[in-house]
Amino acid sequence: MTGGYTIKMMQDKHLEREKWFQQIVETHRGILYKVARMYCPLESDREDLIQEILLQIWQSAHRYNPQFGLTTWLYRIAINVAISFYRKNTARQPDKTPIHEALTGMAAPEPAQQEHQLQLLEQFIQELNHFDKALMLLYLEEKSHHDIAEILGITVSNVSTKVGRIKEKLKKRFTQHSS
Amino acid sequence: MNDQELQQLWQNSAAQLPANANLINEQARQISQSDAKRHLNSMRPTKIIAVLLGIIWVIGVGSLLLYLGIFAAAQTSLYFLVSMSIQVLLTAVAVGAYLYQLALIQTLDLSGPIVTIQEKLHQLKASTLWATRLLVLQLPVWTTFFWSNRLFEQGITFPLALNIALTVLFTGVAVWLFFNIRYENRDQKWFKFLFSGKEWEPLMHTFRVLEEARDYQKE
Repeated sequence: MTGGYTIKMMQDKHLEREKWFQQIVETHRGILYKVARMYCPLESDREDLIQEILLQIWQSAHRYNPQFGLTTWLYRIAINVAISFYRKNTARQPDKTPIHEALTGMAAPEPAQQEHQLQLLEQFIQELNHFDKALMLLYLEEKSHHDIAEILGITVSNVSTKVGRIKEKLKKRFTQHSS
Repeated sequence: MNDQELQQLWQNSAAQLPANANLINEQARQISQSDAKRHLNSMRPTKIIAVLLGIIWVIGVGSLLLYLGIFAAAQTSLYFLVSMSIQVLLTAVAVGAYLYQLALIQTLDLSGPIVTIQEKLHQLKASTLWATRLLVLQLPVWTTFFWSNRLFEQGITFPLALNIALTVLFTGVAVWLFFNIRYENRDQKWFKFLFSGKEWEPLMHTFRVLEEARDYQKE
């Protein structure tokens, strides 16, 4: 009887975890896509990366502490997996699909200037190192410096310095291309 | 372009999910409903084969040496027994160290702060070089396992001098490599020559991330 009860409890727990996992994926899949887009210029690699991130989230689910923010937890896992993700073909040329086309699946009727700015932003992002990419993503997602510091594991003042530097570089890039 | 305009530009594009976004739900369902471990593929097939061959070698040759040492010691060359024992021992330690490091990598909690976790993870990956360092130490025994007492009976002959010279050379190279195959020497020409090729590219990626993680903590 005890054995049967234990198995039932385990099954319930598994079902609960499964439901929770599918729910957070449904709600926060945008985070996974954005991280994958940031780190994988190649469409073909992006799907594999998302698969790896999902696996890691599923396997880390039992470690999640509700005291901490769910998005912080997801960003940490997704970015940690993305940085570690290595594919032999990363040296290949990235696809030239602009961010908005790749993400919407169709060419949006953007004004020419906005399209040009998006291309510049994409090019700029691809030139950043692994950690600056994470910082840039979090900054673009309007995360506070405190949140960025918590996700990255560096001090708030370090975040401010680095965000300032990146913005300066980006500003220069936009100015160069607009002049 | 100010902060708001830049963030707006990003939100206008990246915030939209691709047309095939529902695929992710399907992927999530498959993962949660199957044994997730089956999907894990962090080890390349060549490495799995190398580790398996290492284990088979250690068990096979180790058993043979044990048999020869216990039941046929009188008929077996001492040079062969000692040389091959050193080789098997070093291979066993290297395979063990490699598997232990892989286990540590697999159990690392990836929900920790990114810079800290990446430094730990890539430090562990870089330390798999230890296995390589241990394996190069066995170079000299490949020049001694076929020695026999007869080689020394006729005094200093050309074959003996050649054998000893080779052993000294291999010992020197092995010791030098043991102390110099290190992350710090990654930019040296000889290091790049030894560790070039597709199988070592992930290691180079590891070095790059490790360096970036260390730099990133500096203000």
